[in-house]
Amino acid sequence: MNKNGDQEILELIKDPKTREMGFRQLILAYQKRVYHVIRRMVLIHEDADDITQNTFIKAHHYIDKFQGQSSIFTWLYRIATNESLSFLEKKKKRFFFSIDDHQEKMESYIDQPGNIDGDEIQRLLQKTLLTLPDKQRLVFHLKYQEELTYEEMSEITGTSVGALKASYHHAVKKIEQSLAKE
Amino acid sequence: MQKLPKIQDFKVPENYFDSLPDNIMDKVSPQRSFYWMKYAAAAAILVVSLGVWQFNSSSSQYEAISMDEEVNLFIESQYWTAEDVLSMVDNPEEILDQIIAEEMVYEVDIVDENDQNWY
Repeated sequence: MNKNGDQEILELIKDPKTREMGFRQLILAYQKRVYHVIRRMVLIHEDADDITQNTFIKAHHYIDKFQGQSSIFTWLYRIATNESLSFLEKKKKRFFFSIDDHQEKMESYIDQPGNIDGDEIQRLLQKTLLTLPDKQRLVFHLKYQEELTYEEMSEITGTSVGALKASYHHAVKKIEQSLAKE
Repeated sequence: MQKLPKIQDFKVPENYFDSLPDNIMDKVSPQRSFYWMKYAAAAAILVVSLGVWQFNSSSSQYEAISMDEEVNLFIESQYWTAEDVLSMVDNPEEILDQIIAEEMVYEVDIVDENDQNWY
């Protein structure tokens, strides 16, 4: 959505009479992009659904504090990526106490028929991505898949452009090496 | 990077994006009625706890009255003798002394009254 569209939505949200309608428009405009950026990180639909809903609920809660310096989309991505990373972090901590290894769960999800369209290379690519640290995986998705600029990524992740470039470079190298082995 | 193919998105359940806005709006909209419910719940708890407190205090009062009446009934019907009642208290000696002292005063009073009459 362009800046004008964002502005329209924000105007609607500012007015108590049209607030609900404005927020519904915001969801309709960004739900697919927000869902997919989350789904790429957590893979499993049910988890992605929970986090997508939480992202918009948080956005609704803090929308009055949104100053409009960045676009709504980078602001929503910031919430969505934070939520996804803290979800994965929580799952890792819980693994200490349970036999449910979330990493294994995500890997086997890739193998289950019906979850991914595409060939063996797609599955391999997804599994290779899972071997990367979560933040590196996020950087790879934002750059390679979403084709965001480093400046936008810096705004979303709160990390310097230099660190993001290095992180992306490492991620690509690891994926290429891993695919070459197969 | 040309070696890497684009990553395909995972499949999304059918009609998921049709129902998602409603699911989210349902969770964010009832905020006002939720606040109202919170106050209503607090008021309800206050009323119930006041009621329970009132009921408890009145019933204990009722119990105390009925206990006194029961004791009186036992004494009046001479089912309990003075010795029985004394044996049931914690400090029979003290009570006995008190009773004797009261009776002595009564006697002294009578003597005084008599003295007055003599004048």
